[in-house]
Amino acid sequence: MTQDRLPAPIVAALAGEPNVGKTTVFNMVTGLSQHVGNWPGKTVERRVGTCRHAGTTIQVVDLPGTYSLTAATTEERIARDSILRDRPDVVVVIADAAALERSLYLVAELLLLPVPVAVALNMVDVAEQQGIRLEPRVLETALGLPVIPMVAARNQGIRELVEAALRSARNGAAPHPRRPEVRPDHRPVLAAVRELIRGLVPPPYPEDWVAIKLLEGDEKLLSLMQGSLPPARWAELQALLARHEDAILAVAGGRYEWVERMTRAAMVRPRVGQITVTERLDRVAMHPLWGWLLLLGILGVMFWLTYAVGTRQEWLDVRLVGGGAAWLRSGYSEPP
Amino acid sequence: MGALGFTVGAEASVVQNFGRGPLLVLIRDTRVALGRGEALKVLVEELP
Repeated sequence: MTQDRLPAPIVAALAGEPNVGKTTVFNMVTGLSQHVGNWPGKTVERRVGTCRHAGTTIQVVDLPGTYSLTAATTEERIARDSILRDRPDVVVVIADAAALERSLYLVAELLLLPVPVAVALNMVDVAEQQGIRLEPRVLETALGLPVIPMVAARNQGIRELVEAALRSARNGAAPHPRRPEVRPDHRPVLAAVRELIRGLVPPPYPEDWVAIKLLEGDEKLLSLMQGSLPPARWAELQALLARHEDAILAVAGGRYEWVERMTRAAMVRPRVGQITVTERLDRVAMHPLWGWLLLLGILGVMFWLTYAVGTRQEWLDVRLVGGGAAWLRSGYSEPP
Repeated sequence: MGALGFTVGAEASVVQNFGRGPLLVLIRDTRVALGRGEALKVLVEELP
């Protein structure tokens, strides 16, 4: 792991689902000042960069792409441990404007952690193309968090995002007023779990959050609590959780209900029947026959290209490499 | 599955379902590909 010599006063972590343009935002913000390594003991890439804005140095950490923060995959475990252990000054969630509900699920999870959160609404152009109308200001008011519309690939909104992240970092984490809640039918169970683990959760894990994660059946936290609870309590907790195996649905359902409340006024969906390019592609690529033929076709073209281009040694050597070198040389002045 | 939007009361529609291959399900503005085994574990009821 590489460490900067200069202490960065503000640390911002970038969170988001896979393929929402998280890395694009990271590259835009940090430019060339990046360190690429691995998360300790893992083969998941860890990217850290710095960014200067109005005299402040911000250290930006690119968290692995995750849909949620339950320790089901290595990426999710890394993302949440990084947030809980390293306590960034702000977590910026990159959300996909075209799939807002699913993106906000991660926000729902993050609001339970003691960090300030800012939301970047990325790819608003794609959402517009699909006919989705978004009102970032309305969403901002509903969430009580800064929401910045942007198109990272075209460098729109990056500056505003950095400014909003800095503001959030300086304001600190106020307890969020409109947190998502577990569905009413499982609130008594949650209260019982909370009671069982009270005062026995090792740092840095927040108690309320651990209680909810235990309801979700989070294996890592289950083994953590097995180690820190007295055996009788642990048995009691285990029995309680076994009786309520379906609690995960109440937790996830509660979060999505919250997401629906948040987006109700801020988003207008297109009329049904609009077919996007991806849908058209999916129709072919997912077809039992056409899918295979498409795969064969793509492999065939690659194969053909490899040989068609690769066997023309002379053309490659003389024209492409030689010609390119000559062109490059012409761009430099002759050595004295 | 829960995190992907498969929760109680969510509306889903099957986009694609050929023979014995995987299904493509539209749920919460997102298309999710499900194996047949996974899809069998999702309880649904038809909407009018």
